[in-house]
Amino acid sequence: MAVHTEIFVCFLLTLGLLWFFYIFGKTFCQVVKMEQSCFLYIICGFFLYYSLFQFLAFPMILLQSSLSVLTIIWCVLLVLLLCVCIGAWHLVSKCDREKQLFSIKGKKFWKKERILQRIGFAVPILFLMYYVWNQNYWGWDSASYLGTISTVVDSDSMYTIHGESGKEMETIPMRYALSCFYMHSAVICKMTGISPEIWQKYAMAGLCVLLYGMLMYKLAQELFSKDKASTLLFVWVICTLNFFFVSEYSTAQFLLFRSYEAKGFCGNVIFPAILLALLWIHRHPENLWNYKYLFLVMVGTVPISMSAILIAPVLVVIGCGAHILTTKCYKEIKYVLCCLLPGILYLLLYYLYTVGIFVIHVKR
Amino acid sequence: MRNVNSVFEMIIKYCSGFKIPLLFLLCMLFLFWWNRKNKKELVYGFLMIALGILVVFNDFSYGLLGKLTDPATLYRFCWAVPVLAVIGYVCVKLVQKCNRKWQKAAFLLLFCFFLWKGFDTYLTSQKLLPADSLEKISAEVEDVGKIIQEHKQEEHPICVFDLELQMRIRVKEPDIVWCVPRSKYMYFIDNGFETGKYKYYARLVQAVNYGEEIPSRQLRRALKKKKVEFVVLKREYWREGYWEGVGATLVMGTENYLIYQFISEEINEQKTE
Repeated sequence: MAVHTEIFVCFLLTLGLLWFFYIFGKTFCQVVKMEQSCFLYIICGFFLYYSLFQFLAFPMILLQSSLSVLTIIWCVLLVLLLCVCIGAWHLVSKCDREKQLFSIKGKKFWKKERILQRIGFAVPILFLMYYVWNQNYWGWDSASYLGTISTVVDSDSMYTIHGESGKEMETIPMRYALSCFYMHSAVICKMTGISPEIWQKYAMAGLCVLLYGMLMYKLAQELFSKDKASTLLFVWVICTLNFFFVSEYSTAQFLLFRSYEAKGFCGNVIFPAILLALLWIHRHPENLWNYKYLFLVMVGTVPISMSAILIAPVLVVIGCGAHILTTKCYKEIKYVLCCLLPGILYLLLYYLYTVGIFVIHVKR
Repeated sequence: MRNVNSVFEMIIKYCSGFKIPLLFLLCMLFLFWWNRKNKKELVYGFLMIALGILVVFNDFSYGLLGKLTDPATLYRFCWAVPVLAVIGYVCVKLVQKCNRKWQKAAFLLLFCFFLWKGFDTYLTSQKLLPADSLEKISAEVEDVGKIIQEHKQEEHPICVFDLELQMRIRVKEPDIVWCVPRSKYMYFIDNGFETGKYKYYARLVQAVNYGEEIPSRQLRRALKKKKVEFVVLKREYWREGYWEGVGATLVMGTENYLIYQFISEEINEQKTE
């Protein structure tokens, strides 16, 4: 496939992914009766999508199934999940749906103010995307992660060959296998024949920037009480600031140069998503869905990035701890513990791996 | 992040200097002053900072966490601190304080000027201009991979490359196996070759990545020991008869690389049997 064609296919597939995120997120938001907004649908959908993929892919990695089997099952499951989501939508009252459709088609969508607002959001995000796509950072981690995808696609086996060096593995490396982020990319590459570096460096990097922009927008909406001008200004300022945080280790570096890596998503999507939840919990303690959203994010952290395995639970403990101590709402401790459960489970699995209990030998 | 012994050092290295932490600190002070009458927000802010320091950002926790996980990755805890969001929030708050439009515009211009003059930036013409190619790996890497595929004797040939090529080749040809692992390459980059450690890897890296002339016998022994089948050499490191003297055969070349195949006697014997 020519590189232009590959990039075009990547663009179409990213739109398809966003559509899946939207549908999954909308279903989640409606089920938990959360705030209804397009950005929130996509953010929630992103975490839900990767969590669901993890539920399927992780057991298959442990069973040492082939990537082809995972690809087929995931495609079938996606179709089934779509049907479930659409079925769930029908449960929402007809009246509500008509109201929503009317508001989108008839009144609000084509208002000049809304169009300007969309352009105001799109310009800095598109500039960030252009910048990110233009870079060609290549380090040892790039060799490792892209090598992993390439190896998995080529060998049709998951984590039985060391993705970085190409040597055969004795055991499944849980440090990487616990997070199925790169396996999802391998599924896409297997399905479409796109090269891993093109998929990661265009599609996933673009997705990371878009999600970052959406999260900053939602954060600003909360901080400035939905004042539209200030919200947009915040997005512009934050996009500008990223270009001035020059450091090898900063979130800005991971956004501008390494956004195709799981770590890029960790610093720029997972932590802002948790911070948004903490802000909601503190400012609107009356909303019960705050903790449901936080739970969803916490379920999705490790499937997206192993770097979050310890930091995300610590952040939740600090943020929720400060909130509970301030408001003295000690009954919320049980919700916090629920949100910490997925993180604790993954930490336990990883600990068992490091002490040599949870070790899976590769079958030859 | 290496060679860091305390949280303070980590933060300074994470921010690449004092400017960003100082600006963040000023913004935090401004926020506390701004919310001085809102007791609930003040207590929440103080508790967040106190818990953050108590749980993560102190030398004791730093040491403890370093034992639980790789100390080089502990800087990632800083990702959870919304440095840019706080600076951005204060900036927008100050814009909101301006009454007239020209004042807002002037403040923003001043802010941009302050950033431009006071901080390093990623906004350089080199990084902003469109890239020469949309490809992320050059066609030459693919060509080298194809040549190895065409001539290989083993299913997964072990190869030696220079650093640049090694990092890219397996994305295009995953059948290839690195001879020199990442950890060894990094060891040599950090410590040089004088330590005498990993002598076989050292000889290979010296010859292929730095173009040094290693005695033929020593190099041949390293190639045999590490079961190397292909050596991909930069054209600038080519020396007449040197690699042939080691026992390698020139297979093919690309614009910048020469591909040598090294078939050890054991493999030859196996083939004839």
